Amino acid sequence: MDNSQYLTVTALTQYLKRKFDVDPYLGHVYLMGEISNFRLRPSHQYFSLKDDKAKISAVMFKSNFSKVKFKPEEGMKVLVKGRISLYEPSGTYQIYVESMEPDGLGALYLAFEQLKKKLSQQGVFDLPKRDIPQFPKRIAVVTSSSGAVIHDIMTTVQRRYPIVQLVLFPAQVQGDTAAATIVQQLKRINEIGNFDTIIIGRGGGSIEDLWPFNEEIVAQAIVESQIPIISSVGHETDTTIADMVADLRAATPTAAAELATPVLRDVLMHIQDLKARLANAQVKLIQNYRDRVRNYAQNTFLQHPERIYEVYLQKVDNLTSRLNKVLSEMIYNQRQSLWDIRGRLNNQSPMGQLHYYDTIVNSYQQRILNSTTKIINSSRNSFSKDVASLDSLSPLKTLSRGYAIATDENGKILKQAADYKVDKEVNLKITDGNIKLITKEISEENNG
Amino acid sequence: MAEDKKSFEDNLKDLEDIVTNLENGNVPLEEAMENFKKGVSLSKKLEKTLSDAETTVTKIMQKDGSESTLEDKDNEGNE
Repeated sequence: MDNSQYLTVTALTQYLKRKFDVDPYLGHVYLMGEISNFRLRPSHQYFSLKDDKAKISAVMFKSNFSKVKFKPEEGMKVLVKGRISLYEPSGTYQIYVESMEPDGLGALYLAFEQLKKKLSQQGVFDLPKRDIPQFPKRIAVVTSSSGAVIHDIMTTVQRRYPIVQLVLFPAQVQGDTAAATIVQQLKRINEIGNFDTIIIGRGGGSIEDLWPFNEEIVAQAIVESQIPIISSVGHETDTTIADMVADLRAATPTAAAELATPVLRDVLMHIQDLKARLANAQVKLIQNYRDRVRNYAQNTFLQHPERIYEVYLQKVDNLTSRLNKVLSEMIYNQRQSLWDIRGRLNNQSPMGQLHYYDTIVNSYQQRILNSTTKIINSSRNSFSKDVASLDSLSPLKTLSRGYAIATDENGKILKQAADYKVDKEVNLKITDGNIKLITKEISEENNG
Repeated sequence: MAEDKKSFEDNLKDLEDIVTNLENGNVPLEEAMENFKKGVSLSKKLEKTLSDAETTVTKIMQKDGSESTLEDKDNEGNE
């Protein structure tokens, strides 16, 4: 055999691959098995399917895997649809999975349970529910513009509370793009902001129809909304994730509209009632005060104000008389002791002593007087003698014997010849007058 | 919320409180008169808010952000 009879690996593999690919059965295989070696990868998924005795490699491309609503798990029994082919680089045959369903439960049901579990673990269902405003002004409705939902809500609101502004934010409520439009409208409403309440809803349908309301992005948008949300999806028996995370769940769109609005007539009646009660209460209150005032007005003391003083008057009288009594007693006592003291004082009078000293003083006075008179008399006598002797020595006496005193015009006594000057006046004092002379001649005697 | 001052709810609550308070009596007279006046004006205001509010028509928010009136087509289909 020469070499040309040998096949290359590639040729053989290509041949085998072709066998797989043209096989009428292997192109569409419905396979049931348990997932094994599954680890979520960012794009294409590689795993195995097995049962008790056999195992086959499986690959699922990103485009197909993105349509799987639930999360495959290790050991999960699944029903897959795909084709069998051979992967040349590794020489392995494998099933190329096009779709995958959980065995038993439906895929959507499983996905619903999985999301519910996930959100529950995140605590989303335990988040505090926002209160639905009692008297809204603007309500946003997210639903289909053509369905019965908006119609039911409109008629209910018209019947109950026609003064509220309803604004419809149209959204697809089924199909693959529905979730995205619902999320977009919820975000838009929150951006616009001036809404009091949001109602999201759609009518009844299969789980596939209601599916957008079980999508995680819708749940997220409801949780993130700043405005309270009432959810009414499907029939009463259907519960969606949206219903569970919304602030309030309504069984039907009509019920949602009822929960969102009060009955205008009832509110008005309530206000009327409050008005009446207000007036009543006020009248009653005033009457009550009036009664109290009247009661007080009939009080004895107000009727006879003098009685207020009577007690005091008596007290004052009583006190006054006691005061008077005490006072007169005190005065009497004081007077007594004053008399007492005065008597004692009288006894101690210094009059006798005064008399005694008076006599002494008088006698001293007399004696002083006597002795003084004596002294004066004796002095006077001696003085008279002195005067007499003085008189005999007086120049006047001398003058009377014919002497004279010469003075110049200034009154200076001229004692010596030198004191005189010729032709000058000389006054002469003589015993009984004065004579004016002119000096004619001066002759000195040397022997003096 | 589309509210800048006290909301309708707050005002209604105030009115209810005033009425209850007055009904309980034991309010000093001057305070009672003050409350009564406030209550009357609140009830008028609340009534006026409701009575004066016009019946509105449902609007539809268009993609471009404009609002137009939504005609209620009678129940077509059940979506």
